Amino acid sequence: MLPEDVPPRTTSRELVARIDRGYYSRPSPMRVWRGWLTAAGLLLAAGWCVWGLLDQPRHHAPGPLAAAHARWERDCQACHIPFAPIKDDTVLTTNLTRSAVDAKCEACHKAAAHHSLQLVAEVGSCGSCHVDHRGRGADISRVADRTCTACHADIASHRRQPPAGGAETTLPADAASITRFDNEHHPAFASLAKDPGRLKFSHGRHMTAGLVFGGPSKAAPFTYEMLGTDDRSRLMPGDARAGDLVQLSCNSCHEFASSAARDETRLTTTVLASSPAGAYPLPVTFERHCVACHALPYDPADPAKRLPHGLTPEAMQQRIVASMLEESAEGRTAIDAPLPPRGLPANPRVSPLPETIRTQVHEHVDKARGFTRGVCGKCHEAIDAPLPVASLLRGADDSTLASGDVETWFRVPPVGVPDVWLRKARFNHVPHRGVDCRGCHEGAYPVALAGSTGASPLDNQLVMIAGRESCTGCHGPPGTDAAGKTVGGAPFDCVECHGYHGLGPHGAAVTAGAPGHRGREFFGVAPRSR
Amino acid sequence: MIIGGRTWPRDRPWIIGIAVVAAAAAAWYAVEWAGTGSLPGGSSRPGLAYGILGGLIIIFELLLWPRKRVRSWRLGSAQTWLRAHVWLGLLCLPLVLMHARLLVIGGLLNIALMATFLVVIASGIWGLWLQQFLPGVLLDEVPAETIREQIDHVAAREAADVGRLVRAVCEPIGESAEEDDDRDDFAVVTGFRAMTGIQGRVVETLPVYSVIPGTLEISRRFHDDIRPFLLAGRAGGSPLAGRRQAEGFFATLRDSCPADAAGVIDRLERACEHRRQFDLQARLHDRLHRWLLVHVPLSVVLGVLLAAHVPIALWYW
Repeated sequence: MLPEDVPPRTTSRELVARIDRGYYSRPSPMRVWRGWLTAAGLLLAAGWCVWGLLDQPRHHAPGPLAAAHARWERDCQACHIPFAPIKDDTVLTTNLTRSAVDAKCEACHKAAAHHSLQLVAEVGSCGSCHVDHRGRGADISRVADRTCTACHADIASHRRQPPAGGAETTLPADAASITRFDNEHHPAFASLAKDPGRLKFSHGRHMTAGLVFGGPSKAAPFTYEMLGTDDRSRLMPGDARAGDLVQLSCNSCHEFASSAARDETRLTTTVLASSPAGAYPLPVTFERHCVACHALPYDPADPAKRLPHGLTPEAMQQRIVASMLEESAEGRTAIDAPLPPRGLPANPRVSPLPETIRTQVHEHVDKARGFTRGVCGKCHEAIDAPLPVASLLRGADDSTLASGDVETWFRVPPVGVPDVWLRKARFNHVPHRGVDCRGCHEGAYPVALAGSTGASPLDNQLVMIAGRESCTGCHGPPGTDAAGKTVGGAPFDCVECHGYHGLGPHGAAVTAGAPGHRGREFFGVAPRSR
Repeated sequence: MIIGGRTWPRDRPWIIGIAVVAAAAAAWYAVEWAGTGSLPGGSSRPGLAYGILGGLIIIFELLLWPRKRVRSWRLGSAQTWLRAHVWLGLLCLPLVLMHARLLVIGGLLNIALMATFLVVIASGIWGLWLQQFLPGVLLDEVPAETIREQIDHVAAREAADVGRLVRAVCEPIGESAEEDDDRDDFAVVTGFRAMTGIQGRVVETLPVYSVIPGTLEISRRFHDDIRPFLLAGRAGGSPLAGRRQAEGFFATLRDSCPADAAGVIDRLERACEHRRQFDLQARLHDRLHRWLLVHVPLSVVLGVLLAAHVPIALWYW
């Protein structure tokens, strides 16, 4: 029987006994596990830190150094100074820390000023642009576009006021804001605005079969059999016959140096010498590319008499006079008076020439000079250049001819055709070898001139290198155009084409005092070009 | 429930505060990002500021542990500490992520530090989530809740109580005849009472008058099934661990016993119900605290790695 309404009858001792009063002093399994795991965690963390001290590069560096710096992978002090930030966007960066850290870089790398008008205070530290610890394969010279556009997006407010009358007083309108490489945000290539060359040349004529262009020509078309042996072997395709018309191609004249030809004498400029093999064509030379068709006769009566190319007016004068006298001595000219005996080399002119001979020779020289001026003027500008009468034609009392002491010769100014056209950007023909030459040099090909006068545009009137638009088709974000054709995909960041540290194409200095790399000082070697 | 309900007025300032701070921090970071064009790192102005702030918060979070050891120092209420621990810990996440260039980091130390931090934060959020609803489940499903560490003791005590009741009013089985010596004139049973929002176990004593004939089956079932279950709970594999099976078990027992024994059977059934609640409480309690096996040890690891990170980052930044 269990009545429900009976008052409880337990004692307080019994009630207290129902509670285990010592439970809190006994650790629960959960608490014990927590303690053990905490101890294990402590040990693990401490061990991790010790391991880090033993293998600092892996633990404390954000990543491996670039291959060029791999030598100092375990020598952090080679580049770092304790408590001195290596980048200049930190709170604790000061001029003192920046110059100290940059000095570490400049021990090997000599960096020149980027631009004469740059604001020095805005120039970042080395480490700000060249971020290392991004892996062995990282190219730390390939800096982010923002390092350039930070200023070039609004260049007017990031450069000093140019000095009055200086060359850089005005800023081209399309260069005021450059934010990326495309047809809208990058200016047209200034280097291609005008052809600075003085050479009169027609690519159209030379690229036409037989080298006749635009209609009837006075000369017969050129055939391979008309060429000399060397030129024929160089220019004649294997499947052509001797009677075929000569068909020149781009590389008939624009030859690219192979890697084995680094001592090529035509590598005349710093740009060409420091650029990768094949980046740019070697300069066209008269002796190799022109002489096959363009001899330089100086005697209208005898086209076989030729001058070498590239003579100064003085040399040309002496050469023609000496040639006339020599031929006269040998009886091969119309000069009817005998020459006096020739002196020894130490005193070549024993006695002055008789007046009659000097007059006759001078007449011949006058004719040759006029004829030669016409020959040179075919391709070059000829500028008047007064020269004293040749000493050989002077009299015994050093008197001169009746015409005066000075006669008007001519000189040919440098042709001024750039070895490298893009002066502030690098270009390499080798990666572009899969692209048809016509893609970028359309103007160099014969154009259809129905009913033309036979003339073709001269090169000094037309820049035959396509501009920015020919690049952006490939160098831009990947995508497809309206016709569904794939476009873009090739790199288009700033450093793909431009250098910064006063360097033009392929390490060539465009800023005064900008050799670029200490290796040139220490070892006489140029930096490896990209 | 840690957040919401009655605590909402005290949580609201924290929520607004960390939302404002996090938004301001994100705005500053975005401005810096837009200005430089690249993700600001730990050495940038906002990055360093967030690193310092995040580090101080982590140190404060770690202080919760020693604070529990020195309760007598009266360093603010436990509620305030826990609230600050939760909200500042959540604020720490965006700050540290921005300090770490949104996870664009390298170096084993930094990676280990960040991984530990994220696991600590994730385990903390998981623990917070559990604390949000499991206490409610406990309140609803375990009205006979006791202290977790007391469960075995209380269950043994209840087994002894109902054992005395059975011996007092039920016919004894042979092998327990020697236990008749401690026969009392009253029995103690454990009950449950809820009043004015407070609920819990209570102890009742009942007078015993005489043995009820025909209750040998109760003694037998108690000895064979009920007492082992009360002592071991569901760990013993008893069918009484399931409520439905238990109802069937006791319905069968009622059918086989006189109506006078219904009160005893009710008490036994209630004791089994308590045991089931204790089992449920143990499971919920473990679930409620198991995340601490991750959170606490890794918090200590985080503290050690942070202590290594700070000087190394300043040395080679």
